[in-house]
Amino acid sequence: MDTSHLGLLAISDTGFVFDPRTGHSYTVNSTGLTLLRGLKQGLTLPQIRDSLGATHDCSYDVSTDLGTFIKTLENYQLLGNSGQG
Amino acid sequence: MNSSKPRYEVPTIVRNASGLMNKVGHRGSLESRTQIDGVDVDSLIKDFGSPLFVFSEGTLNRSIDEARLALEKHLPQSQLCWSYKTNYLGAICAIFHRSGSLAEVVSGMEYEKARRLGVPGNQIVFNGPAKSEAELQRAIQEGAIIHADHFEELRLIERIAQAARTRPKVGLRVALDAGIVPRWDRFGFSLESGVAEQAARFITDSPHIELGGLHTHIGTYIVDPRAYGRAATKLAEFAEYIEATLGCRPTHLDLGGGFASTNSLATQYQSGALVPRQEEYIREIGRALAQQRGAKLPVYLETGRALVDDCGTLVSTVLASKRLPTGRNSIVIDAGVNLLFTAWWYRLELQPCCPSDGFIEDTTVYGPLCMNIDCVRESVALPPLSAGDAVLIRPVGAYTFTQSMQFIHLRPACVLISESGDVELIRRKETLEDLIGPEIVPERLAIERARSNLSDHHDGLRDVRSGAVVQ
Amino acid sequence: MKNTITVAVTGIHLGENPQPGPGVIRSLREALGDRVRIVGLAYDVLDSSLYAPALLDEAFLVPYPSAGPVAYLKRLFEIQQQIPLDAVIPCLDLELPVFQEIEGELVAHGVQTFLPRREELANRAKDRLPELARCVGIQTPETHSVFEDHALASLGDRLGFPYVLKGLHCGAEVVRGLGDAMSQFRSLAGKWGLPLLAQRYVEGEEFDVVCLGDGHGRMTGAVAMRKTLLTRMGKAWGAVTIDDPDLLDTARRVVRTLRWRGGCELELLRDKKGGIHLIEINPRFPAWVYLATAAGVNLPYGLLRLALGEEVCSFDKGRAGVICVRHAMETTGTLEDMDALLTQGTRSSLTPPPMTHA
Ligand SMILES: Cc1ncc(COP(=O)(O)O)c(C=O)c1O
Repeated sequence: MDTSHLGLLAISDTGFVFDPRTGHSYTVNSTGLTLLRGLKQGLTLPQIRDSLGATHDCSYDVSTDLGTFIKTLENYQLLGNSGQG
Repeated sequence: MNSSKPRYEVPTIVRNASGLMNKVGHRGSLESRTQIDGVDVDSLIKDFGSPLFVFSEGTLNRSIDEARLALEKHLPQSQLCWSYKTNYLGAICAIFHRSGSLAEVVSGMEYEKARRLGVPGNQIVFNGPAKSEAELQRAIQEGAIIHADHFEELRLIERIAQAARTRPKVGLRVALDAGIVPRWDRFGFSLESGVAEQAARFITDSPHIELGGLHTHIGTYIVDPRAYGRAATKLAEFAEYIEATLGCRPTHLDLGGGFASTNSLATQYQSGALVPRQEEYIREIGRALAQQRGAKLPVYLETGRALVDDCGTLVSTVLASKRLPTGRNSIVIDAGVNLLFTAWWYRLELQPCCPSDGFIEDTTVYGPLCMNIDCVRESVALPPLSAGDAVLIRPVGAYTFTQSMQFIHLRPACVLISESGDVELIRRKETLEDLIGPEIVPERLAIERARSNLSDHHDGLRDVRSGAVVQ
Repeated sequence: MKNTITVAVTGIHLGENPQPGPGVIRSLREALGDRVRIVGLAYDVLDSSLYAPALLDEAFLVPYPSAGPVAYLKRLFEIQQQIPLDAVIPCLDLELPVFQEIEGELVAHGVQTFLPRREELANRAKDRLPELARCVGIQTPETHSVFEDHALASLGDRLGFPYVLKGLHCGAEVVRGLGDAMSQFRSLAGKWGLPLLAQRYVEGEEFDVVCLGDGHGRMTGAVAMRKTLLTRMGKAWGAVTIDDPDLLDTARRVVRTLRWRGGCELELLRDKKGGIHLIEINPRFPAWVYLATAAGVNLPYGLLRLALGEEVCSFDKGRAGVICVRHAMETTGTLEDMDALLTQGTRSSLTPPPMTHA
């Protein structure tokens, strides 16, 4: 996964995200923030999934949720060039 | 739920749209609520299933008291008549009758329902444009308070009376311009065009019938109380005019229903919490009638939604949450427009039963019907909800259960929470029998025959597939 | 008056359709200097005053009035917890029903307001102007409610073309013929709902008067102006104060008849023979209210004093010939401002949380 654009984003602890290339801003919830941060640090999706599972009260495997989130990031073109396909 | 770990929320990112950036903008309905009148929503669902209509007797009693106090103050000679179609669940009607309301019905079915609840015929106001000969015969015999809608009905009543050798009182529904739109002038006899006077003359000229009361119902969800002042003035002046010219005094003035409830109309900007209180309407009627010189006639009111809307809540459960391709959040709940016909014109409130401190998003709320029309709210600010979470939809006390239908899903149970907090079942959940009981499948379509046709058809297909051409 | 007064003000966006808040704030600052602390109540992260220098001390987002009185009150109490408010001055029409509903609760918690009462608000509605004008003894253009488009032709006969079609709350178009009337009817009704009002077109000169009523029938002050520059929507972009005793006298009579409580704006018209016609009453200060302050009549300050229960003497009349031109310019903000407003619903003088930038 090309995540080269992630590094350009300004991400605040409050869940405010600004994309300096487009001027769009975004609001992200706390689990989304964990995910963005994880991706930025180069963690893999299974690693992020496990850490979310360990820190949150959840009854199911959240892999599909993470997949959907990644798709959304791709749609907003926040990940990287190859993410647009 | 275990542990002190935070509740998991589906990871979400939304693009901020200009003109819509206000985190607290829509937050009216965000208060989370886990109880209704002190009863846990979870236990209600466990005992009676979801969805579930829940009615609060306490709330209903308070709104009836509010009306009674206002009437005592501004219209001492008055009578409430419970508008059956607004909510004709037996228990709800019984609460109204216990508090002294007459029954106001608009069909033979409603009439029969009132009778079975023990309301004597002479305490039933019989309105509506569609009363059959048999229904009128009975109503006349039982001394019901009839308001006629058109000349066909007047002639029919006259014939019935003549045959029965009685001389029943017949009232008139009057259509009048109270300065509001839409004007409900399709019902009754028009005052301004002089037809109402003709109808009154028809009655006073007839040897078989006598003039009863004058009735009008100017519309519904009227937000300008002055309209009632105008309607009362016109009706009272008409009564005086009839007395002066035809020598006959109407028995009462019935100003119908139509006071607004605290529901928010989809087309209005302001919240329904700001509509006038019942007293403001009643005061206008009182003021207008106090200025009249003629005889003071008893006043009937047929208030529907303003009395009962607030007491009803629909408990529903989230089935799924789904992000739409547009990026917008949506949820699917187990109650749709099959139960919430009123969702077509109201912005019904949705209150989550779970903590609402999560990520608030404008969310579309869909019902369970496999139809695109099934949308309960286009957009409402909600915290993250997941399958199994309960939501409360309100107010749904008026026209909601009576207009609900068995489309795709059977109708759920209805319970009443009494003043002391007891939960009583007032309508059981429907079963398939309730739906197919009245159906008749013609013998020739009986399933045995159908099955053999079906297997013939399948055999044919098999032959085709295997290459054997069957003629 | 206390040494420092904290006042919350709404309607703080100066956009294409400018709101009155900034004019009210500048007037309060002019009168009180350091002794007033302004809390801006915004409806959007991009409301312009949030980024303007020297207008606000604190800022909070508040629910839209459509969210209802309970939600609104709850938010004001949350704000009150952080910054004790002495008064709140709502500046938008749509807020009034909500504030009327919560006024009692606010006052009980020490937050003063000075609003028109329900009855007054209803009595100034466009469809009741003829009744009001009759009581005041002035003229108002003949006005009819229009519910259906097939009434437009007979209205043409009655009022003559051109006449004015208006929405009950907003929107107005001069229609010059039946075809024009039909198409404007559809577009106005679509935007503002029914009924519309058809008003006789009176030729003459338009003037606006800003006034403050004390709620007992006294007009404590007023300034009249004529517009010198117009926006496309017909709002003032430039104006000049004038001295016309007849206009002020009309305003005084309207305020007395309505027993108006709070600020309002009268739209008046003088016909060729000098007769004065009442066109409209807006139930709040106009966006140009600072012009009156500049002319020596600080009505927002007067309103604040009335709200706080202070004595307010009648103002002298304002100076004529003070001109104003709206000066729209860019104000700038930072991502931190936007972050705080967007995610916390407030931009306070406290430092916002840090941004991590990779
Ligand atoms: C004759 C009559 N009376 C009373 C009502 C009750 O009206 P509401 O619920 O608006 O008070 C209706 C409703 O349409 C009606 O038709």
